Amino acid sequence: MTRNLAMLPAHPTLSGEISASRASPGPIPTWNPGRRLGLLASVFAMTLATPTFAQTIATPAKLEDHPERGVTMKGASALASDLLTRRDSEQAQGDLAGASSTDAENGAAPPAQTNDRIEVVLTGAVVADASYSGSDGTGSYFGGAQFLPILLVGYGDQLLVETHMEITTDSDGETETSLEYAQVNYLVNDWLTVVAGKFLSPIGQYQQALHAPWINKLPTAPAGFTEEGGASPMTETGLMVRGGFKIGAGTATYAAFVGNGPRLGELGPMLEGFGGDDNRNKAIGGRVSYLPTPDFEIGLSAMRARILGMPAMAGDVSQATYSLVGADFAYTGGYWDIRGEYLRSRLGEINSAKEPTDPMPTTIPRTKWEAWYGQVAYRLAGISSNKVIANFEPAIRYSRISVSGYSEFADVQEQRWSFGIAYWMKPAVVAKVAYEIADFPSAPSAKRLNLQLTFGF
Amino acid sequence: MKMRMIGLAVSALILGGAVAFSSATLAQSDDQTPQSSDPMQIARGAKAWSEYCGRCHNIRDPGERSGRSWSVVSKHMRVRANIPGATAKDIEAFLRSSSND
Repeated sequence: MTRNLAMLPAHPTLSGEISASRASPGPIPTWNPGRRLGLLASVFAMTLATPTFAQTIATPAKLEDHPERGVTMKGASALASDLLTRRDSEQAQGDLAGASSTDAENGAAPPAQTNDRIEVVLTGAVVADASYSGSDGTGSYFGGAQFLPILLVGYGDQLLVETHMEITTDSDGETETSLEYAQVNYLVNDWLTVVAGKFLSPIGQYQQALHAPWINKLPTAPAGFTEEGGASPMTETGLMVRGGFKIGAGTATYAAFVGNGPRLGELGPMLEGFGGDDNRNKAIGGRVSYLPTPDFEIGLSAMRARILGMPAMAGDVSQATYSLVGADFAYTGGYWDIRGEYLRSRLGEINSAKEPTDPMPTTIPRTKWEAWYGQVAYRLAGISSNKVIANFEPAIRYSRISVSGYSEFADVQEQRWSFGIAYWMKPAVVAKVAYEIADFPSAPSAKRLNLQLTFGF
Repeated sequence: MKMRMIGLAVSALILGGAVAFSSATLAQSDDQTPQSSDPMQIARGAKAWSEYCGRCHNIRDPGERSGRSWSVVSKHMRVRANIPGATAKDIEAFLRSSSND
């Protein structure tokens, strides 16, 4: 987590003159009282009073200008921890109460309000892509721009509506609009939220947590973790329960859903949230995870559904069971971001058309998909305090999807190496470039340079 | 048929759970409002903010948004990241105390 703190712009409350004359932790250093003082200020200010800070900051200094900003910011967590462990200490209580009192006097910290009013928040991103390849015949091009608005509507303390549109320009210049999710969340209690509508699939970690371009370290998704193929569910339409709770020093999370389930397409199961159920059998699935420490998570996923064959012009189609299991992990300690995910799915033998215009259905044999990736990224703030260098984050990823069984579904097979570097201008504004080498069983290898600029807001 | 029964059972479990908890928690809704005047809650929130938010993405500057905006965004992330409710409320209290209003 600390490498992400390194990105954070200096907070306005911290931009006053700072006296670093204190060389021991504890009392809050003095600064320009004209600025409002939130508790964050006191937390960070106490960080600044540590011996390390005293050795590195001239007096007076502006935190936002200091090259060690990222390094000192990461002390916030440790200091908050320290404050909490000293909660019985009169000194700590005094520090906090003093800061709070100053806040109140300056009108800085708005009092929390119980409310049943509607609050609307617009967030999201605009994304621009470009790609160049000298090997696969597609040459160079600027990809379609994407506008990805997310509208959040809160109503009181327990209701939240989330909608996410994807508005993109395709290669023909047409504008495409799709609804990625639209869900109503009822926050029942501290560990249970009920979700209804169309929602991101909770299977694995990439789709629900990492696929957004203002989060993804690389311009592309891992092979097999896209709409095409049969391994990685994208969205689901139905009901879901989810939440998290403490277990000892760790945290456990869960998500379980029942939904309309996937349908069969020409390239395999389409694992999307359809607005209807073509076979009156609901899909069920979910994920559980455990975080023994905040920077390490391991998760297990499973899903099961019945899929109806694509109807042909004549003849009966059948249903088959689709099952999926998966495992994932993430380590985000220090400036590292190390992740991996594995998904394996199976579809039983099924009578289905290959495409909607087929006169008769075909018997499609049992087919198995395996998709996985491993990714390592490192924020250079860990090795350099230079403002520019610290915002670079190189990443490397290997991803692979393999298919065994029905040959028509095997076109999605691929293994890919991705070597990229991101430059984080702001926490959600990033320029990424990546060189990718993709190998296909039945086609020549492709080498491609991808660029992406994302402005998250 | 078996899958249909399982689906119905899961649906019933979800809806039953929601109904069972809703009456109790609605009555407690006032207690769920972050008490941003509690310095210890804000300190806990600062720690949780640095630990939870950075698991997936860069941490956003608390000064980017208003307190009410952070209240909605906090709930959005609580659902998305399965953050325990008490922890999410601490984070919300911290963000509100350091927001741009």
